[in-house]
Amino acid sequence: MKVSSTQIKFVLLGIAAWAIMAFTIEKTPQQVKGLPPVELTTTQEVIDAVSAFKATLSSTQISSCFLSYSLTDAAKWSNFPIGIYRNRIGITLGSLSTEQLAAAKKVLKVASGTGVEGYNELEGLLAADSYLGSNGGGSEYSAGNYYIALLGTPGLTGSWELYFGGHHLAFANTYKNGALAGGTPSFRGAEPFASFTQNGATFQPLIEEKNAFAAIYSSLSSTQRTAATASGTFNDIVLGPQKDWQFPTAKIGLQCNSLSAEQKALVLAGIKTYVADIDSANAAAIMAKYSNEIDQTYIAFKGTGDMVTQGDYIRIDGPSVWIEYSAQGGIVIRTATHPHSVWRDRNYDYGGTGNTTSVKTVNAAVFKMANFPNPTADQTTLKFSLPEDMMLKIAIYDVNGRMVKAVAKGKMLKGNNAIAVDLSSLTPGIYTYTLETEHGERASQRLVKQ
Amino acid sequence: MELQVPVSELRLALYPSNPENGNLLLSSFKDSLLLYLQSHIQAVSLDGKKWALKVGEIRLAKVDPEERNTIQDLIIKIWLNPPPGANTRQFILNYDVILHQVVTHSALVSIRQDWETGIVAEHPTDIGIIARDPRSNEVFPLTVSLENKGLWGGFWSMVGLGKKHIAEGTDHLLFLFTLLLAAPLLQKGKKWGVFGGTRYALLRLLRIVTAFTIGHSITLLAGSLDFLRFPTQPIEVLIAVSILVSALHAIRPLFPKREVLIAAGFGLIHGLAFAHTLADLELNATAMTLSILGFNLGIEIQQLLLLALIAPALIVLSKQTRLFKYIRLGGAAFSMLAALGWIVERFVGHPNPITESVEHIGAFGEYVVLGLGLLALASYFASTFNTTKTTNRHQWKLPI
Repeated sequence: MKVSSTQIKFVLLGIAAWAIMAFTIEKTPQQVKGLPPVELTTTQEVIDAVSAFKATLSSTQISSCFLSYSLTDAAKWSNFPIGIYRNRIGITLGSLSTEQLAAAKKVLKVASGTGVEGYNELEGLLAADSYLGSNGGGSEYSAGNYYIALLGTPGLTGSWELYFGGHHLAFANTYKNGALAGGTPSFRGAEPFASFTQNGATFQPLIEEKNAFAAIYSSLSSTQRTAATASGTFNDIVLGPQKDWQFPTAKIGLQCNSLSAEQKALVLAGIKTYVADIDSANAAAIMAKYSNEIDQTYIAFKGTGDMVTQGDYIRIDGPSVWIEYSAQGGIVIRTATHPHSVWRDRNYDYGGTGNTTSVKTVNAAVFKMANFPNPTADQTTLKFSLPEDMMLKIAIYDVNGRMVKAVAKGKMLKGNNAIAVDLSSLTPGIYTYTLETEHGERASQRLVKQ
Repeated sequence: MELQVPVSELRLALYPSNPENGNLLLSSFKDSLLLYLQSHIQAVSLDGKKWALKVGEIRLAKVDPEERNTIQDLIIKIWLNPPPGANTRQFILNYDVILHQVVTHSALVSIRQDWETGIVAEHPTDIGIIARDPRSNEVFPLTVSLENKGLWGGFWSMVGLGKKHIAEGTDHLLFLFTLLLAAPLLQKGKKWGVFGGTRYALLRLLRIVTAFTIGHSITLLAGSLDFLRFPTQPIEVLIAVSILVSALHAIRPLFPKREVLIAAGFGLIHGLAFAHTLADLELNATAMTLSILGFNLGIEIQQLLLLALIAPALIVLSKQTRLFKYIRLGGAAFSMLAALGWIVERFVGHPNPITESVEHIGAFGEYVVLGLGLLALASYFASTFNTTKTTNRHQWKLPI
């Protein structure tokens, strides 16, 4: 086949055009599939604010504030003041100059929502800590004792986190390939809980949250209230700091599919007091998802329902959303209660890092697992052998993977071990007994009850 | 077993309609609390045999008035008695006090004392937290597994305890050092004279240390076996006085030629303090005998180590009459000051600037010894260049 020079010219022109296009596209940020461009704009704003903040810092400050990304570091937040919890990462707001502090606050501001939530709530909670400091709490409590850190390299590619945390506020905004992959875990607590004045301004952070939850409770009929009542007493939240990826396997309380449209709207309004703490574009996307899942979401209450009496508790637990709010005794201001609360996401805490259950199944033969007698009646002895002293969790599960007996947890010694277990509470059937090591290895052995 | 239970959480779990008041709780609900504890704490051997349980004293913990945000705690003594033949080193603790109701509660479990593995009251070891497992909402019983080190394990941990007691006890260290300051010297009238010769010095150092050892061994034995029990405070004051007296003795001979007796006497006092450490452990006869031997051996090893470190330096330095005078007087003055500080501290019950700074300096003990050694080395080389003077000194050498 003869190729004309015109054809060659066309091909060359095509290649050149393609090269120019490829080159120019490289220069514009890569768009992530399926996400509206507005979210990338927000990410870019955060990145720009971070760059501006970084430019104000000394090299020593940069080395303590800009860290590599690891879940271990990301999980180092707490609801304790710095005197009790000393593992926070990054640099404190109190160590920054006026110019640096303004740049840091700009970062927090562009990453946060507007109105009564988000950045203004953050300012209120920081002021609350300073208030505690000068009203009997001492120097442990101060707006200056909040830490900011950046884990990973902020940019439109890869994973990185904006870490911010102190006594009563902590969040972990995790960005993946330019999009906010998760704004959780996000902790909020408030003491004083009553309105207070600090440096001439008046604050009452978290009052909107409390009001929204009280409104849900008061909308419930007495039958609904009974169904929504959780068992036990709550004097704090269940999934607080260092309780990552430990979501309960069973949901408790009242499923929202039985609620009226107005009641569902109240539940969503309650959820929104947390989601709206992140920037409005991302908040809208997350709210849309939680709203789609409302029928599979459960609400559970405990206490009086006014949400300020000690022991008052609400849990909103959906396929994705997890919110807990608990009123507990005051610590510095002993005469009033103060709330602790957390917003988590069952799939996207830390942007999903650590989500894939890192349990590694190992063969039961490794631990020479056996039980005697097997099949058994009411009493059996679990036998296993360990290569060294180990921290173990030993439990019995049914065929559906539901834990039916917590046997023991703690240190077991090297060599042969035998633990007698009473199975009288179990119905006859097939079970497994499981050893779980602290390194996430799990070995199971079949156990039959007659 | 001792429980420390916050009144606030106990009230929430059991008496939510009552105010948060420990005294009220104790006076109105003691009996029901006893029953409650009995049904929410259980120790079981790994083979399933249950341990007997008895609830002892229940009292309110003392609240430190200087501490902020104090939380009132109940202190509850629990006696767990294993069935005959059961392994006491390993058991499962079923515990859901408060936790049965307050699902957010958690209990930290630590070993305060374990003779075999050398855990003693000052350094408890955390072994686990009893809390609800968030995933299942169940409370896992806690396994308590202590290493089986047997009697010899206990013996060696007591040797370690004895060594630590001397190494970390600034007052004992300072006492020994002060007592030895004048040992290499001859007495000249009512003052200290010059170096008495290496053999003289070594023998005196050894005699003093041995006498001290015999003294404290006697009272350690008597005190540990509970033949003798003195309150801590006067003994601690007497120890400080013993430092003061030895400092004065290092300046001017107070009890010429009776140093051995005095060292033994002070040994008796120091032994009573050592005995407190052991008596508090409440051990059985075999364990106590091994503890006394081990503890004493540890004290001895540490003392001899110290002697081996400072004796050569003292002997070399004391040859330099003038230089050594400053060292001796300086050392004695420091000890006097420290002793006075301790006497005051132990009378009034809280530290003062003197004792605080002594503790700071005590942390640099190795450097003091090192400095002494370097000084000795320097003076040794200086003296070899100036042999005539040293030969003169040898004339003073007398048989002892």
